[in-house]
Amino acid sequence: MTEKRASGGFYAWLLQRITGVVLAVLLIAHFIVTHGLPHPSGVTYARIAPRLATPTWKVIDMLFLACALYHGLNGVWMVLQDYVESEGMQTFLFGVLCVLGAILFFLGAITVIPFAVQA
Amino acid sequence: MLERPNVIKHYRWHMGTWAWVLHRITGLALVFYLVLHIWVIHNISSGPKGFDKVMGVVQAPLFLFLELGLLGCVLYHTFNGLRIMIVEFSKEGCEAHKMVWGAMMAVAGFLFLLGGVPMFVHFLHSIAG
Amino acid sequence: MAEYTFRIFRYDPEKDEQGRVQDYTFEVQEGWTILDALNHIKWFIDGTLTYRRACRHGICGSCGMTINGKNNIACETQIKDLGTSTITIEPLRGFPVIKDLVVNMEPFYDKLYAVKPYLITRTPPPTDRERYQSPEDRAKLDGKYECILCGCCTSSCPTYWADKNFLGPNALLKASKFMLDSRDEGFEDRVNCIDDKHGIWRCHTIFNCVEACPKELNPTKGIVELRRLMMRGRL
Repeated sequence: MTEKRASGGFYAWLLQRITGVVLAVLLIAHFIVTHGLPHPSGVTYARIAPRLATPTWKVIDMLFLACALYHGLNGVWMVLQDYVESEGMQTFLFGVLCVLGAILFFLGAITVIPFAVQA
Repeated sequence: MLERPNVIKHYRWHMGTWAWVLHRITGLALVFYLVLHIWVIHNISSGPKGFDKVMGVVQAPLFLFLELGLLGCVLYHTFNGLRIMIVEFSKEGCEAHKMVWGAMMAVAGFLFLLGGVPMFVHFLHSIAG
Repeated sequence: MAEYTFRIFRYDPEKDEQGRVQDYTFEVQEGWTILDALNHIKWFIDGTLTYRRACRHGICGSCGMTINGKNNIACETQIKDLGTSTITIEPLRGFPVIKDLVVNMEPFYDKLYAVKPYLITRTPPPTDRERYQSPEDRAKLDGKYECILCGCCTSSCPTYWADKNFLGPNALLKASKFMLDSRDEGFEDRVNCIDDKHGIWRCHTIFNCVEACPKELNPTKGIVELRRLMMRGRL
């Protein structure tokens, strides 16, 4: 049989569900607040920047970023596990996803955290 | 022994197969979008001029139309995800999974109209002017 | 009496590189099942056709196969109910084919053995009677113990097609049968095997197994009940 692993997937499974719920709530807020649904309006600096500069929204956006990246990349990992047979290749791709996640998180963090409105 | 036999007829799809395949496709599409989104929004650091220039490009009529597809992907993935959680965490959800799917899709469809119609109107305005 | 064409997957390991399709067209009598048609072919048309069968009334689990793109046991599939005059019959997917409709079920049994499909106890049984189980606790096992090991569920599972190490709906349903049994004390013995990257968290709740099961059991229900049980244990 397959090799034994302690907790092979419970936390990944649980986190996928928790981040999923968090994302659903944040997305509704995102659609209404940022995109003005159900009355869509264009996204302009003047409309977006002041809110993004507040600490509360920085925290919310960082949470949004972390949940979205975890949920998305873990989803890709589940798909890869299904269609990549070789264990070595799987490990390699897992590494690629981790690096990709780290880069995107960094890119998002340097956008959000130091943000201040410019004239 | 024949390890990978050829198949005469594809295995029959039912509601669960559709739900799963669509969940994967919309999920992968959303990850692709997420990468673009993080990259595009990063331009906000460059100040009002640079940001509005980039946003002008990604809010061209073509993209406004594609955003309808994005809304569809988000709503499907969210509500099918909720179905999966109802199936997993509720006592009766597993046996009533088809009903749960129907109910979730009805809500997703309603929200798609609620958000999608104004978005489509916005798209039409953008072509007109 | 009506004429049907049976498109049957044939593979002879001594002659064929790959499987081929052979058509048999003949008159079928009212009330015949797929197994009756296969018997008719073997006994009166082509004696080389190979398939498994034994009890012919849905309890031995020998004749699981893919009929018109869906798994079922041949002896419980009424030809009339299929609603087509051309019927495709293939060996169970996901398993290596030995000959024609006979597949190697070893990978399937390996998964079953892995979850220790028997009552595990630590405490000695009462000396004057059998181990007691209340009717309420017994009722919790309804829909879990009736499995006939035909392989239709595991063979219909897209996750199993993708990952041959995945335990599959059958083994997980069996595990849930014992782990939810009030008399069983082997939770720790099974949990390592279930809680594996090829184990219980791998199911994507596609419900193909539920659609396929000829005994109308619900392996997905067993899987989600076990997930809840394990989650309560962890948190």
